[in-house]
Amino acid sequence: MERMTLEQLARLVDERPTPEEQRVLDGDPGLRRELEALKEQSWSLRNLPALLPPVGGWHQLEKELSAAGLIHGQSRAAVWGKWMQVAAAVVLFIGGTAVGWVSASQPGLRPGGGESVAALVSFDQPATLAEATALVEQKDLEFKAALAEYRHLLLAQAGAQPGQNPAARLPYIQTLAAATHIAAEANPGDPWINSFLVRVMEEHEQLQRRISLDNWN
Amino acid sequence: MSHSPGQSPGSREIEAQLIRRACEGDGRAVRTLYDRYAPRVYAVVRRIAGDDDTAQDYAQEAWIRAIRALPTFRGDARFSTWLHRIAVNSALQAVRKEKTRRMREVPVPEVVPVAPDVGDVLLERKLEAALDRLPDGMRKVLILHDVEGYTHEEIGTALGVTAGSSKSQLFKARAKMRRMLRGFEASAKEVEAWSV
Repeated sequence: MERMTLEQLARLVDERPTPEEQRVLDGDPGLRRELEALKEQSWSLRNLPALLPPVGGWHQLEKELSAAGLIHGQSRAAVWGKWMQVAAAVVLFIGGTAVGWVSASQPGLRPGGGESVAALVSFDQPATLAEATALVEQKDLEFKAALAEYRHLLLAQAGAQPGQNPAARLPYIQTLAAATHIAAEANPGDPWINSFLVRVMEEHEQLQRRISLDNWN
Repeated sequence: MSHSPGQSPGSREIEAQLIRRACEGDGRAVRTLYDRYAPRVYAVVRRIAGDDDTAQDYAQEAWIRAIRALPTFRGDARFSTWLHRIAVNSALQAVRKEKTRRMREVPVPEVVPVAPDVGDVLLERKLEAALDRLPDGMRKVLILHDVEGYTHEEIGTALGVTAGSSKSQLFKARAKMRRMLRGFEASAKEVEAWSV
């Protein structure tokens, strides 16, 4: 065997070389470098991040699911009203905490986090531990849904689909990143919030990358 | 399967409740599932589709199928794995349909036309761009094997080809990707040398 092709090397990414192939590799540092590059390429592909779907994807899907009779329940207006209530609580919570952040250098002024939410979102007093647990889980879901909606509203406010006007979207994404960091600080072990944070940070990074590419071009 | 997020028993129980509610048609539960998994679903269909517009359609179709099939979800596998399979199968089927509708032949450039930079942050972008430029057959096999972690036997079943054919396509795809990325590295080095 004189020389190996790139296709033959590609097989060696996850298969052992035959003795003859090993001999060829041993005698050719260029081929070994190529094989390493191919392995790195496969590793990088395996670690590609998830991609954020386009803004508005849910609303389109919601229409189709409703039309197909796959979702029902509360009217959209009623749901929207609740959304807005919870989203408002989140926004106020975030706003309050952001103010706290600014003044965090002063001792004793670190924000209290969820107090504003508790004050704003009304609920029946639970009588038992089971009821309290169910209530916490329900509010947890509502908070997460509101955070997701907050992302949607912020991106809609930025007035752009991903890929358009990236510089205008950046401050909105930064606000969302700050808000999500606060949520993650308050719930450090929560897998959903952590994965949401990862998604927001990915979005932030993609946007910065996009801006840097635009600047390059 | 790669990318499976870890789940505590508590979050599994919450997810099971969400799924039960979604089965009953609770839009809010469906929305929560969507928010949680949309990026993973979109990522796999986007890579199979090769462009954003098509990917959006494929993602919608995948979600509709998944919500329709929710009552058949027994919880033997993780919900994320189950949903992922539906997304992959749905996108592959859509590609097949699309292919029979219009046989498209996209010329494949040897070098990815991405502006060179020296940072690692561009690697993902280069990879995504190179993936988009692979011929359909190679792209599907490379995505399923190297990105999604399918075995050749699983790929064979999903694509209706033999495991051997899957392997051969994979090696060609890896080599083609390497040639494209090598071209990119060369132009990046050129820029680096030029700026020094």
